[in-house]
Amino acid sequence: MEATTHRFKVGETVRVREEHPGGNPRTPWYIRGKTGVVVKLHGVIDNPIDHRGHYPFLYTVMFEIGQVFDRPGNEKLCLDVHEEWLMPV
Amino acid sequence: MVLRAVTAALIAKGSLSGAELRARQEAVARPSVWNGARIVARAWVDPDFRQRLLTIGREAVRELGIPPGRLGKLGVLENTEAVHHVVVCTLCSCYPYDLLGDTPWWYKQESYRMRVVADPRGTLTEMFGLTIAPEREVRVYDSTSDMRYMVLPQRPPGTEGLSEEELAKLVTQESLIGVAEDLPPSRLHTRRAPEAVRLAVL
Repeated sequence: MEATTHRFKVGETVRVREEHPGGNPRTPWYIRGKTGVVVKLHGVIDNPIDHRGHYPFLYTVMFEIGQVFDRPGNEKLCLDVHEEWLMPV
Repeated sequence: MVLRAVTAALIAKGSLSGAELRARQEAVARPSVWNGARIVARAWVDPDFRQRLLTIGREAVRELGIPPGRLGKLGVLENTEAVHHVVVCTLCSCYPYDLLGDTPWWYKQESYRMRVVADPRGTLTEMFGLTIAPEREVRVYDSTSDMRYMVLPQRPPGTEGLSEEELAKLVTQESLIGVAEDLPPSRLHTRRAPEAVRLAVL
């Protein structure tokens, strides 16, 4: 779905903004400021039952749980984040 | 055609009221965990369907006569020998309930939501009695309203001789979320298709 117009590519390292960029507020607090890797591009999701209009491009970003929560372990955490929340690293 | 004629005759005779009929139709159409069980069983027996499900998500379930629902996109997370998936929604309780029915009560509890993202192995063991081997990777998917996830569990060993419908009866709601994965064929005798489905075949 219009993958070429995504700002970030699969495999790219990105950081989640700490400050609310406006628009979609649905990015969990615990992931803000954390760094992960883009694993999937979703384009713009059509979801009229949950919200009017459309949010920016959506990405699945994979994080290391050990880094996010500062604990041992090799588990991964995947979150879906809209493009306005992501910054290049 | 025949069904419609029989239904009309039953209503005319007074053995079936319009309200009863509507109640049954709604029960059959209501999304339930049985939808998920049928989707998983088909994916186990039909590799082409499995591939379509992983690629196009909810649109693939039309092949099973299941209404795909409309809540955002469906992500299907395939468990393998190397990776185990578990689903949560830390913001609220996002889940493809329009396709798989309502979430279990614990899915909405803070004790599950905040714990499983920080310590998935510990949460699975202590809350659900599920221990994932250390060499197997655990991936937690924290859902939003736009992407809603179901887990595609691994087909259990010893089920080679089972039919697709028998396989579906092994699938639990917990296994669709990734907090259970042991689906032994011995459990087949104690599980039945849900009420709505039995009504549908009456």
